[in-house]
Amino acid sequence: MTTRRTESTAGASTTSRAAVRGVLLAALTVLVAGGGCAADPARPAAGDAPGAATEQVPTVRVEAGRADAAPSETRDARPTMVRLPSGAEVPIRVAATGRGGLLRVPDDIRAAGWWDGGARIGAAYGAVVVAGHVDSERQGLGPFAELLGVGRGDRIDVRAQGLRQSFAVSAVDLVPKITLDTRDRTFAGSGPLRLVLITCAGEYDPRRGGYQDLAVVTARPRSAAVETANAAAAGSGR
Amino acid sequence: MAGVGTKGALFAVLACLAGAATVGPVQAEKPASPRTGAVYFAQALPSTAVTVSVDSSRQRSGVRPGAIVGPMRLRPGKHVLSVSGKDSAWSMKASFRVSSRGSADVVLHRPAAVGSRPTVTVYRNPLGPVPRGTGRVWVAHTATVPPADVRVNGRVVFANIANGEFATAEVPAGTHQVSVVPTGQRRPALLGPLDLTAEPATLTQVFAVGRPQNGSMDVVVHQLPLPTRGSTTPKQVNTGSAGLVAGLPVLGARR
Repeated sequence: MTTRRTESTAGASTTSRAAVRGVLLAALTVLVAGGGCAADPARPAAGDAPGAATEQVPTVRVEAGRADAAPSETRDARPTMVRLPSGAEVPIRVAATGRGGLLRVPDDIRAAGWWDGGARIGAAYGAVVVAGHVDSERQGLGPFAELLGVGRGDRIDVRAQGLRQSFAVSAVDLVPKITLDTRDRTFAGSGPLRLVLITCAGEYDPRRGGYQDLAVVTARPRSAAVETANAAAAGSGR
Repeated sequence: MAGVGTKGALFAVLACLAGAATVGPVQAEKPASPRTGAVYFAQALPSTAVTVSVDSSRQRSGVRPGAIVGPMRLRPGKHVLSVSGKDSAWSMKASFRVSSRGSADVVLHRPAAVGSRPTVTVYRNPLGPVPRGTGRVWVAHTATVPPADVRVNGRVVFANIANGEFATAEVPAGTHQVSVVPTGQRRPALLGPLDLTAEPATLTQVFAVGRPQNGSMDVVVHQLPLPTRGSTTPKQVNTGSAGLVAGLPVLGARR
């Protein structure tokens, strides 16, 4: 029994198995001492250092184990690309909040901005907020104009560094711009993970800052985030 | 009884040896470097007080279950932790490596097998920034139970953690109901439900310890401050300037 167990545990050759057994014997003499077994003080413990000679009881020296992340552990990462229901792929850059609380979305309407204070892909909680221009004078319509036509259940995929996650649209809201800062759930770090896509919509009044509303599309995860770098190892268990 | 203890000890030692094998090549040390690492000793052995020394220098005696000793500022490189029980009835040593400006918890705990001898595991503390209003909760499985799920407010946030493993997640600041259950099951709760408060900008490390069979399940909690990342919550978003979709109905919008 013992032999078989050793083989299956270590899968080792006879010599290394003997070596392991030698270490174990020495270790046991020490470790079992506290359990009521008589330790043999004459037998030096394996790997014992000279400094250990001052100890009252023989001790075993081992390398402390290094903890492993659980196989289910998913790191999180900032989003780098969103694929809209039409299949259009929009690169995502980092966007910070600037003066006056204005989110600094990339000027280039072909790119969107991820709010850097929000959740990341792979997180368990919070809103992953990505905003993109609906249009500009110079570039015309942007890819986020598509958000004005999405409906519940439409699929949106997000890629992050080493991760991807798929979402399904759960709500589309037309939010007056002036009420954005009182609408807590748009940016909240609480609540289950969701994707929040924002673009401009509604009436356009150049004398009052242009578009009066925001289209806020909320999407829930269809599944957990999946690792893309080592997909075979990390993605199979999900 | 002695037989069980012996077999447990075998596996404890094997596990430690395996850990040593994966540490990799020894890196060049920088003896002149003043950049120390912070090391915390966590006592996750139930119902026994221990004496803790590092590199033969006594840090503290009578360290009770759940106590944290530290931070100990240690030079980068290899160090030796010595732990002994009451009246030096037993003792063990474990070497561990400190990285420059690193932060680690060195945890004394029981391994998975019942009746086993204590083991030491090093956990690197994840001190990366978290979003404002958010804390990082980190759960390590150092109890004598099979792989477990950790449910937070009823939802599985940490799945299939085995002894010696950990998982971590950013969670909204506030009080959450946490329970530990066998993987894939809702009950019996191995631990909890208990209220765990995640402070904002704080790492809350939870070591699940003990054995549910004898009612000794408990947690050791260690909190460390974290930096925050990211900018403040936006008050305005302006994502259009041409009026090309002016007045266009948003088809899917709810009213």
